[in-house]
Amino acid sequence: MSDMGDDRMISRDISENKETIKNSYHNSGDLIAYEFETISNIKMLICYIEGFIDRKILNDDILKPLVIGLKDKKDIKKLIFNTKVQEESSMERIINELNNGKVGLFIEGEKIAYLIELSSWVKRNIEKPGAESVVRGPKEGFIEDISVNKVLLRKIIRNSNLVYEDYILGTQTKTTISLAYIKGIVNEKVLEEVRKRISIINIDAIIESGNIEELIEDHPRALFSTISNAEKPDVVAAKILEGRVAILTDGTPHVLVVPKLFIEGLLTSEDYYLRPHYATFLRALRYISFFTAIYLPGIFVALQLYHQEMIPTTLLISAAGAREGVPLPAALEVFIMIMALELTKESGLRLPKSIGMTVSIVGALILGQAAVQAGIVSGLTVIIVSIAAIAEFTIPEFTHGIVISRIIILILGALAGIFGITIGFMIFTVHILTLESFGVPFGWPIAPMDWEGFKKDTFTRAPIWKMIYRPKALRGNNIKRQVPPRKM
Amino acid sequence: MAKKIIAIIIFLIFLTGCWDARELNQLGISLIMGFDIENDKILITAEIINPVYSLEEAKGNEIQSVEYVQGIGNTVQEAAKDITLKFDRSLFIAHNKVVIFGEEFAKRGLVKNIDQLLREREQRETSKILIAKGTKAYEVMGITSGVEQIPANYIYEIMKNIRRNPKNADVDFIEFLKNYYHEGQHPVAGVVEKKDKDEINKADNAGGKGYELSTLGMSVFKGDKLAGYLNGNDTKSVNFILNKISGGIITFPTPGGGPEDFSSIDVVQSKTKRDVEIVDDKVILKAKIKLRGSMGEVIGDIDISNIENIKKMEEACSKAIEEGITLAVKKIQDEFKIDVFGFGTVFHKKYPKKWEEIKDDWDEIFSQAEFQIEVDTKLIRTGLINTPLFLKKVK
Amino acid sequence: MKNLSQTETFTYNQVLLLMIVFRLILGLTYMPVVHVSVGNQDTWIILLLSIVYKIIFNLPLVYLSNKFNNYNLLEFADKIMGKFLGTLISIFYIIIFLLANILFVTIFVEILDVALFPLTPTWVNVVLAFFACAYISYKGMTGLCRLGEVVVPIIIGITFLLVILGVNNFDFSELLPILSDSTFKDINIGAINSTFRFMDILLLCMITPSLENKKDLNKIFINSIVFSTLMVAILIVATQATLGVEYTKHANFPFLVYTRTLSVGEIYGFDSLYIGIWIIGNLMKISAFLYYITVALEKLTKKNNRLFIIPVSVLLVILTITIKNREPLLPIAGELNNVIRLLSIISVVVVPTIMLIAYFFRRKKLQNI
Repeated sequence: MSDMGDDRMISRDISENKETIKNSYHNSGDLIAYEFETISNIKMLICYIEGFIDRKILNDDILKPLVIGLKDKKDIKKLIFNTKVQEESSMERIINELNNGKVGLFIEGEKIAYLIELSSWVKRNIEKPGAESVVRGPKEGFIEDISVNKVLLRKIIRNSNLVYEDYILGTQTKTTISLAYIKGIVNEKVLEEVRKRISIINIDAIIESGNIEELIEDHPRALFSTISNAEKPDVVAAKILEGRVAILTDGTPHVLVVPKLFIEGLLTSEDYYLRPHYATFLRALRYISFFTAIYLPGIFVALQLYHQEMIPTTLLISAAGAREGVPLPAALEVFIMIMALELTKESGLRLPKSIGMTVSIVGALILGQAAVQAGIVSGLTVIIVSIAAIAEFTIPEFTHGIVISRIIILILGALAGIFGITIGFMIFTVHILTLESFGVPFGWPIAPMDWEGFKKDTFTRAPIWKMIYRPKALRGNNIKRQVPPRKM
Repeated sequence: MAKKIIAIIIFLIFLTGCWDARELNQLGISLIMGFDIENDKILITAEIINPVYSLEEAKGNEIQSVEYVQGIGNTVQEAAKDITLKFDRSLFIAHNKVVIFGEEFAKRGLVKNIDQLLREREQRETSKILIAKGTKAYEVMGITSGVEQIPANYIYEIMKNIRRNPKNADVDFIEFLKNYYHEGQHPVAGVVEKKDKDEINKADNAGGKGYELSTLGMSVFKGDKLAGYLNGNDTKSVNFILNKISGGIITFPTPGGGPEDFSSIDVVQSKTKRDVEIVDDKVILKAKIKLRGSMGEVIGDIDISNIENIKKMEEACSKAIEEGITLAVKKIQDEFKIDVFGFGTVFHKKYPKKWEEIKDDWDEIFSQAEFQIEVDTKLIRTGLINTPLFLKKVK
Repeated sequence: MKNLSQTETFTYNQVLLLMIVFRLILGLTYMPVVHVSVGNQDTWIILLLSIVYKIIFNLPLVYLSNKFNNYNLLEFADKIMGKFLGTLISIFYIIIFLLANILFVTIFVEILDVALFPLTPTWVNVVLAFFACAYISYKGMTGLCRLGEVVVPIIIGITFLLVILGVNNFDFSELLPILSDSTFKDINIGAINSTFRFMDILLLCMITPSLENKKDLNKIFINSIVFSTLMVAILIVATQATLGVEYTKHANFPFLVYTRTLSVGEIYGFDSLYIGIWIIGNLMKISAFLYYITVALEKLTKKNNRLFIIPVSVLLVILTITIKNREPLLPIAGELNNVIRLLSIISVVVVPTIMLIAYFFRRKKLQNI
């Protein structure tokens, strides 16, 4: 989008070009516009943004050959040692492309300029991703540079069918995003939908993939997100191979993948690298954690307040004993403990590493030991909230939904006992099951039930030699993953 | 606009509070209750646990483990409401495991008066019923002996021991009512009795707890009014016929041994089949018991590693059971003249048409009927040793 | 986002599970057949016989649904009877659904008030229940079907678990002598009575156009009847064997009392499981009826059905509270049964038979449609 008026053209006068460019950048200090003459007295102007390019390459491969050897204006391409050289006639494009690490080469007396790709800015090294860690599996994570990310993905899928479609979003930030998919495997309907939704984005800034997520998702007000994100190339590669579309964003290592199924939030990539039985056990554990994290505080409060007859007698007596002398009503107690837990989590994240340790120790001691001994909360409450917290930590992808749901269920349980919790459960489940992610039902394959997909990859992880077909809801036309091995 | 209405409704619900919520420290958890008649009114005694008991004991403070409250009224519900005037916690009876009825209360009629207990939601229908023999219920409560500090647990744990000794009765509300409703059967219930504790070391009187409880025996009801009590052996016989034996021992004189030699068999499994037959217009009651047991102890001059001797043991055991049960049935036929064994129900199921004619006279017919019993004992194991210890095997 | 239920089709499994839970929940709640019929220990025979009667009496509706399997009940009423009569029939069915809904909600709230929350005023329970049902209706039949797929297997599983846990206490001699206390005529009357307690076939007819495979209609019809009646028969056998025939008649909620007698070692709280599944089942049924009331209203007034959810809910809340505050419902099972029977006969047998006859007369004209 041009915001500077109509398309300007390159003038034949270099000084005019220099003025134009400097004015466009409002004489910004990092714009370098250098006029020079070649040995054969051809005047040239080279413009670039400092820090975006590798000055050594600029000097060696572009300036040197031009200055030493250029005799004829038409021979420029023969002298520049660069594979990405483009002829440009639009000043607008040159001004914009300087922001992308390109170098603009103007020649006195010509209406054509050259754009040369030399970008090499400082990037982070490839290191372990901060938000996901695994015991078994590759430990490389995406970084903020989109071209490096593309390479990381292509290193895993070395296939000419892996296609990257680039778009530029954000009127001010002009961020590059890229759709990645495997032609022939991808679900064409989903791809079409993604293209449609991206093309209508008209916002001024895309800084993180989260912004894109909010703009293209099906249910902006849902409790759980319907678009998954990943920081590791192997995770994204596996998802693309099932027929999904990945959206890489320049400037963030978090890659979006659509469509998302609910069960994906409860898996990790490790599930597929470990032995099936162990993976099944871990998965079952995660399913139980999901429900525990959300319902345990609510059920605890509901039983204590309304349904004391359902607690075994000895437990009831010790719980009643633990509550003697505690000033707060049961519901409020649990609520305060949950809030304190969230505070500790948040402060632990924000503090620098050195103080972080102290905070966790202090938090544990104060919130746990001392509070119980001072008689502010009862020991049983601390245990219950801790179990719920630990359960929540096993499912990092749904933390946002779990925390909010937990509080809602707690309020319902405190108000209406088991009746409230059952109502909460129903509303909650209906809410999740009626979400849709780019045309695919969120609750697939649990509901609507697809037995084939259900037995392979939901509660149990079938051994890899049994997974013959790609998931039905996601695949395009390429149905089979493998030719099943012959029976021994 | 619609959203605003919904929001207002939601806030209203939240603001008005929750009516049914009861904090744990507002409850008076009662584990056992006693029902009595006192001065022609109904008296309820509830035993409420002091919840900080275990904590305080851990700290070393002496504290009473339970509190007792009593309430009086014309009906059960009135008496229960009377308690709320005197006690600072609201009565919570959902954990009542045992309910004790005083003798007078039981004589007045049990089923009529316990309507409230089954109508309200808190009382568990699986609480056991005990009748306080010869005393009021509250005199039996509060006695604890043995390891348990809380009297209710003490009684309850004793009651659970029917598995090990079938000389008591394990009846809860559901079963009592089931038997009561059967035409041709009269219900039974358990018994609890206060006994003086025998001092083992008479010099050391420091314990101070002079009483212990015993649940030996069974109480017999005619309709829903208490009719009498049975002793331990008769209780075992009744349990046999009602097919409620799941453990215990049978003691019998060792065949071929002296007058002091007894052996016993541990019951592993026992099944009873009841039957009635009409022969020449006379009713014959039959029972057939199949018993499988393992050798409990052998005192006597008999070498049970020999198959014939095992057969002798089995026969002796069967004979002892047959005699015991026949005695018990005769006693009930003569003394109580009511059918607690449920033969009426069997008759009803076998000869439905005839039952319609005679059902009002069944108790009479039962008292006159002949009783036949057949017991088949099988000894399936003998424990860790075979031949009794005092017989030498090595010649 | 788009109204999912209008573009969505439902599979055989989903609808089957829904129909099973609708029928099952009535037996699970208060076992009307125990209170009203004469058969004492033969109640299970009455139930098994009622399978036949159910199939017979529901035939007119199923036949018509098969013929018009792209239209729901109200739409083909229009087609067969003409515009004016069709509108009348639609209004009639709206009233039937409303009454059925009120009945279920009142029974539901009664058990809540007795067994769980004695002190809470009725309106709180009713409002909370309608909260959940309104939300589920808002999401349409899709939400309900998917919820059913997840939840109904759990409900059936837990029911079986509750039955199995009590096996030790069963005393099958309670159920003898078979067929001695009640005559053949009594059993038949009991079976017919039992048939007219269900109006769920109406729901099946309303859901027909969204079925994925229209031929499944008959399979769903028969399978759901057989399966749910069998399950209720098992429940009754379990309850009577444990509690005794007489006490079952005294109890307002027999299965609840049965679950209170279950125990595993020291753990006694199994009636909480029962209460959980029973709440979910009842709320699903109420939501289904609520949803179809709004669909019927949409057909009449041509406005989007979601607009009607809140007004209808409010109306139902007010009506329920008025009725609940006047009379206790369950102990007067006799009168209640008469009301239900009347409604059922008219809506399931009489009106469809009229439509069937009209269909046969107009068959030539309707061939073209």
